[in-house]
Amino acid sequence: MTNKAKKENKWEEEDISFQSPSLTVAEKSANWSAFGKYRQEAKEKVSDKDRLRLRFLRLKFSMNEYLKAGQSDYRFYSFLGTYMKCLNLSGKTFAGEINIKPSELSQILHGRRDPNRRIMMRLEIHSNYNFPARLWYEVLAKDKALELKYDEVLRKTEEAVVQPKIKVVI
Amino acid sequence: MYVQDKQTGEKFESEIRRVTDRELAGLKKSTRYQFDWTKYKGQEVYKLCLTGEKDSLGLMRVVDHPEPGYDFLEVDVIEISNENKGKENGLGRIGGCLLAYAALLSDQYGHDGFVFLVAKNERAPLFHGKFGFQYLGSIGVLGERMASDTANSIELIKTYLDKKITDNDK
Repeated sequence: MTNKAKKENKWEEEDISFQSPSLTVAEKSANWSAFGKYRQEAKEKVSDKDRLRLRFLRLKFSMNEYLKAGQSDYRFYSFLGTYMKCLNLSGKTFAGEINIKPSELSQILHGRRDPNRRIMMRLEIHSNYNFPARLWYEVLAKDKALELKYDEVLRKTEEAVVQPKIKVVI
Repeated sequence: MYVQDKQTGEKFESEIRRVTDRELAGLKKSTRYQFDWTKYKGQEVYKLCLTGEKDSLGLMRVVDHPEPGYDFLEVDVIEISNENKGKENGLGRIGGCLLAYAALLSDQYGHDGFVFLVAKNERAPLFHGKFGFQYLGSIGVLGERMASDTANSIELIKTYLDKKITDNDK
């Protein structure tokens, strides 16, 4: 096989650039009705498992996006709350399933307590390994990194007690 | 989520962001796109970029149809930037990442991942073969009605959004 053929084998054509055709109001309406009809018929066939798969994928995507973000309103506890919401679990039930006290879970969900390694491992196992402990840990570490980044009060306080500072700038 | 150099196979982290009206206005003089994106000001347009970069690799406009009897997300326009078109040029996976993001949005808007579009006749086999869209019926020279249902949208998200650079290709 030539190099060129190898390359062609590797990358198929994937330019899907398109614009929807210009349609009259009636044609547009007919189009949407056709889509809507298919959608209504297909609605019954969507399984609860697939609905959950989609929600989990969306949550995992958000967590991975959070890890890349410079700033975010999300925190570990908001992702954990969404995880419970995906499964329609009450705090009491979920706490029981991962074998911690409901009060401990409540503190985590309100950002007043950090989950330990054991809890993160239990989250991995509870999710059937879909959400690895590593991912939960990275999200928590990101929380901490953002807190440090924007904590000007702590920065000022600690600057007062560190003497001398290295003069080299890299 | 990543894109991949078609020549070297090197992978690059990428991200999807909402396009501002100002950015759309800036595309007026761009030679990187053929469609007139300025007409979509104020509408829901997304861009795929390399992480941390401003320049887009591809653009997508979506339209939400929450009305009773519809309940789906429509992909109205997609365009891959000129330098990334073709089997051997630039970066690959751009279209797949954008379509997968549409699937994610569809779930976010409560449509179970259902995505619809009207593909040009010559592009329809690509949407079907590579991205799993089903044929819903031809509208003659105007194109083909096509759909991604829940199961296919899950596969799109897994293949394009959930995969990381460090994951194996297989």
